[in-house]
Amino acid sequence: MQHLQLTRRLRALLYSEPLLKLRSLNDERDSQTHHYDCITLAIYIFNRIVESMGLDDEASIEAVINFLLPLMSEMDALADIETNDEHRRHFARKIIERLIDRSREQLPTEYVDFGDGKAVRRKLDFYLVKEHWISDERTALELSPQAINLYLNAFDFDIEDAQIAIEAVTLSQIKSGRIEQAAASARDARIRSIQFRNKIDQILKDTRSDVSLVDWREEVPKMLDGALVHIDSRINTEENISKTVRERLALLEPDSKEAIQSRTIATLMDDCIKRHSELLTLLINARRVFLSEQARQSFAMRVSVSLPNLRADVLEPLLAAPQKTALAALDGVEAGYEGAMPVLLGVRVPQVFSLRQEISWLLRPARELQKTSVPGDQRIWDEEHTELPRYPFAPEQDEWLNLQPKPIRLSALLKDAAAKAENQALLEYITLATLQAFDGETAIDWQSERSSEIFEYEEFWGDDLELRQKLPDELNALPKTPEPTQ
Amino acid sequence: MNDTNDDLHDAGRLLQFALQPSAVPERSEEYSRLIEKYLDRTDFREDVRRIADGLGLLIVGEPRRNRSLILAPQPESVFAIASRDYRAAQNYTTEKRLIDGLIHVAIAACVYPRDADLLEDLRTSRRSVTIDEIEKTLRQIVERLEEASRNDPDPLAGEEGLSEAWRIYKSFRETSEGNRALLTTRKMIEKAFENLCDRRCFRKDGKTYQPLPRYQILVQEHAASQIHQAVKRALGTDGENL
Repeated sequence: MQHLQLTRRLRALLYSEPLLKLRSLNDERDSQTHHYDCITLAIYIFNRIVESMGLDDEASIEAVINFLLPLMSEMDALADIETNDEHRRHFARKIIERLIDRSREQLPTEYVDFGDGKAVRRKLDFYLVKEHWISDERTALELSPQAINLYLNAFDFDIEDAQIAIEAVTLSQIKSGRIEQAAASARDARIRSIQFRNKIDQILKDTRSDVSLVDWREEVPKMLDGALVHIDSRINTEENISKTVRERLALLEPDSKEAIQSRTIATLMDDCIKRHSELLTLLINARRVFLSEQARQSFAMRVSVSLPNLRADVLEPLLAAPQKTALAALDGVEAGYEGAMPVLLGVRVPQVFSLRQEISWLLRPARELQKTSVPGDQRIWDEEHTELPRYPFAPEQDEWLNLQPKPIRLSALLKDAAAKAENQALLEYITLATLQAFDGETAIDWQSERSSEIFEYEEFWGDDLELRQKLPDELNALPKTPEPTQ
Repeated sequence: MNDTNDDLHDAGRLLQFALQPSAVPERSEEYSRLIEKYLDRTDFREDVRRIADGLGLLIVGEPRRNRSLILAPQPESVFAIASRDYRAAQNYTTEKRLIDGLIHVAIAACVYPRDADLLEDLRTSRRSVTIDEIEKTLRQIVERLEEASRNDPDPLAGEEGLSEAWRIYKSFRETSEGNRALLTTRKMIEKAFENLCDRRCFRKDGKTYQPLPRYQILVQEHAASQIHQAVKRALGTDGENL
């Protein structure tokens, strides 16, 4: 038993290794960043993440960086070094990315353990900070249970024991008038309740994914029964703390520091009660989840899914295969199954394309800004905010096109422009203007017609249109060009 | 009867939202409500799955609150993008199609460099990748295969289909060196990322491209095993053709 306890304590110490390794950033720092204490910044990173865990506004990387900037500014002042926010942001991001095992090059930590009196080498694979999706587009940072334990200075506690301890401490602190300490303890209690909820959620998630991953014969029922008793006890304690602090609050000056902190404790306890009440419902329904998943999964066909190494098992064999074979794998060899390419591209909604609408949209004139009568320093519209058209040189190019000797082929025009090292946007404009002229409804004095040849030049291909001057009767038949609408 | 009609209508609406990459529940109350309904009612879930199946669509992964429903096309579905339609160009040769396919597989391989990565929690964001990384990965494999083939005889003239895919990749230049007319592998990788960004599978952040949940779910829950099966089938069950 002592051996197991020692191993647990050793592991708890090893969880701090990534923090200590931050010191190795010293070798990568210049004179402008050498004064930043990375471990101090790391703890404040943990603090920022933990304070918003479980709330609607969880901490994103940007939010954490913004939180660190004033602290780094203070460190600059202490070291008498002048720098700027961009510099600080860059360094803060570096520390955060170091804590999030991004590159996956960080190998599991190894240590020597003694089992049955013999030395064995073991691997400890863990993370401290992870970036996770909180919606389809937004991410937030979260701490692992190991990081939370490090942060709470409670290296080796079970969550349940930690909750009992912290709430006992909180109540004691309130009763003895140490309100500031009690507020800090109440924050820790809230974190523990989130941790406990995450633990239960993971068990239910594993059950939904594969019922066989979770031991529902002995381990989980025992855990659930224990959890139900524990949560019931927590709710009672938290209600007691909330009641005690509110009784104290009634005797305090409303705006005093103690009153503010007492209100904070009451809010935190209410949050814990709410979380634990929700968790109680979850625990009561947990067995039902298991039974329904067991029924569903026992009749569901278990498809043997191979988990490939995409580089060694897919990409390399494709590159080594004959071209025809590789193409067959990418396109799909036979009807009934798909090739790799369509699978990776996902779904596409078939759309009906209108060339006329596309060209009209691309050649739309720039939107003119309304000038306002407010004083210049209060204007919110500025010339710099003008919406730039994709082809700002259009008027000059229209004139250039008008002056080109005609008849002339579109392919010749493009080659001529490319030979003069003109940019891609200009080549596009020439093509679009020629296509628009094909429509015949513009007020210019030339038009384009289809020739009998197809051309291909760079990314342009299709009918080689021929530009020619309009005949006099064609010019007279032109409708007036409507004024561009705002 | 009205409830059934409402459910069928809602099922259609939910699939319509799911087919639009730009639609996200966070920005649409109706989409969010339909996802909740999908999660809370097994009968509605069944309606959605059956209609999706009828349309040649698969629902990938387990949907979650406030998250999009992710769809994948079944074989020969009208919603699938055939390789030949990837580029709207008349001169979309088989070589270019091959390179585009290899690039997409390489992107997935760089986002998931280890097989264990495919088992990771889908909530965890994957690290960003760059054009340089994709190009480097492909070129490294090409160089290694070229080195291994030094003692092999050269490919037979006129039998291009039998020459290995790596030779085709090698024949495409990495950069244009001022020749804008040249279609290079870097340009093709950039186009692949643009395509994936349009589908809300990736997000561009400066020079890096971060995979979004849609891509993670698609690859981890569906595409990885499917493309592995496709390669095994094309090469033979035990890869004897290698």
